[in-house]
Amino acid sequence: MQDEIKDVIADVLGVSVASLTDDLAPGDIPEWDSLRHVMVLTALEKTFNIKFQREELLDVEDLSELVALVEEKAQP
Amino acid sequence: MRTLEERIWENAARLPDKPAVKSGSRQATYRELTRRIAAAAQFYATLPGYSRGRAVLLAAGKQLEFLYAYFGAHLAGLIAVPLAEDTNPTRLAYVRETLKPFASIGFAPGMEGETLRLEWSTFASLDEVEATPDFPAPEAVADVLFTTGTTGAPKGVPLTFGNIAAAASQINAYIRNTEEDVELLALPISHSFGLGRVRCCLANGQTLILLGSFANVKRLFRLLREERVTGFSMVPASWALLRKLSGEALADFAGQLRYIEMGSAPFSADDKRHLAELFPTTRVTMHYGLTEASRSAFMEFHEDDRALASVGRASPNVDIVICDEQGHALPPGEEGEICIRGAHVTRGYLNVPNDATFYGDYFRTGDVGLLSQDGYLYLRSRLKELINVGGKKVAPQEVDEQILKVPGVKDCACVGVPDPDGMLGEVVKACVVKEPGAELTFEDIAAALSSRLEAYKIPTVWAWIDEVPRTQNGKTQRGLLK
Repeated sequence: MQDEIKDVIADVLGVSVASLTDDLAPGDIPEWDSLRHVMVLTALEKTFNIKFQREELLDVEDLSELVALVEEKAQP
Repeated sequence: MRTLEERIWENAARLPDKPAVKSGSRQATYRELTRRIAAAAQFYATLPGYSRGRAVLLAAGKQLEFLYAYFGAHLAGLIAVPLAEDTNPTRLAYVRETLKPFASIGFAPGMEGETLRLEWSTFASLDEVEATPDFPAPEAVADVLFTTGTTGAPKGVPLTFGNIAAAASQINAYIRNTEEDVELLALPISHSFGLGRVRCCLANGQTLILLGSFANVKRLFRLLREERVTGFSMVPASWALLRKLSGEALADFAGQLRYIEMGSAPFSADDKRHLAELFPTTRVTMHYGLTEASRSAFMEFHEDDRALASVGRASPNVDIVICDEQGHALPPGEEGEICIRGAHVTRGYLNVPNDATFYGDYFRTGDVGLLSQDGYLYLRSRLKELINVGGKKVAPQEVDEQILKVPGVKDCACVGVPDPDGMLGEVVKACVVKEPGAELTFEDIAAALSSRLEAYKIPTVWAWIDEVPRTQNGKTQRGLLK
């Protein structure tokens, strides 16, 4: 599932999956600006049929934490 | 007036071990900042093609090296040209053609054109140099910033060392930030607002904390807490984003934040009132300004609560007049073009005669407004047809041009419409006429644009139309397409 999540993120940011390191965070690369961060969140919500809560987003700092959050929420 | 560089050197003499700037896990004290700037200045002079008065392009990100290279360029007698890291190839080529720079720093490979390509890491590896440089003359050009022109082609705005020093003094005088303040900056520093914040903090001897983006709310709130941040800046879209991602958690820092500066896009009187309530003891300020005349008016949401629908009053040492079409000053209450005079105002656009830019020594903003009896400036409309996407200005013509290059598109006109998600203020709407029989989707067009335009310029609202409405003279009637 991790790969699927990274595919969605890479697709929205327009970067290669290989460039998405675990500690990459919004704002670290020009492609991941605030506008596209919102698009990333929306795409993840749609693809995995989940809904992020504000408290959860306040706890996400980098890619590994975002992937972990999606995995946790998308559990059947 | 002392240049900003001179003030940084004075701060280094007075506060050598104080952190001047922090980015991620790295920092530079004022002493180290001056030594690294001096090292950058010496380094430029060793490069092929270097000579005083030439330009250097900088992909302005939140690296410490950007500051070394930017101020170092000034001390080496170069004109610094900060640009967004994701500047599109057409715009970059235009900038190169206009300025003939000798070097480009920090851009992706292949984007340097015929210039010498340099990496940020080079500036990190230079040995520190202890030197008291010859500071530049106030009338020399320090920076050229590019604004969105009405025809779609960007306009070069030269700013002298005197312009920059005057703007920083005026802004600090209004906001009342002091040496004790610690400021967090998440705005892009390729634009006038963010770059202005850098200058204001360093002129004052403050500590500046750089953060890549507002989107990283966890890191943002951690920094606010750990660094005991007292100053903050944002555009209305940043506030909308913070509210979406974190509710009103920023207000938990109301007791700690001494000042906030806002700007770059309209913000409603209700929103201003709401912020004033959330931050009862913070100086919550907002400016009206342009790259050409940085922060020409200011307001404070508590002090000016009787005029929240205005954009404030003239900044310290700035004159604002409203002019009629002949350039004559109009009395209070009458609508006309907003014109600005002050030591911060550019001396005129590159390669454009000044006749159309100024009325006497008053810069013509192209914005329509009026002044009230008590000096409040009310913005009525923009003469320029620009779309304001989250504080970044987009010329609809620039997007039209790129869409017209997509096979299957017969005609097109873009306009600004309110953001359906309520985040960005405005977004770009594209009205497209298809070639008969062409099989084309909006997704196809958006995909074709992704390598040609910055993300915020790509339309998010689309419509197929039969014909673009035009006047008899062929001017696109965009107002009919909103």
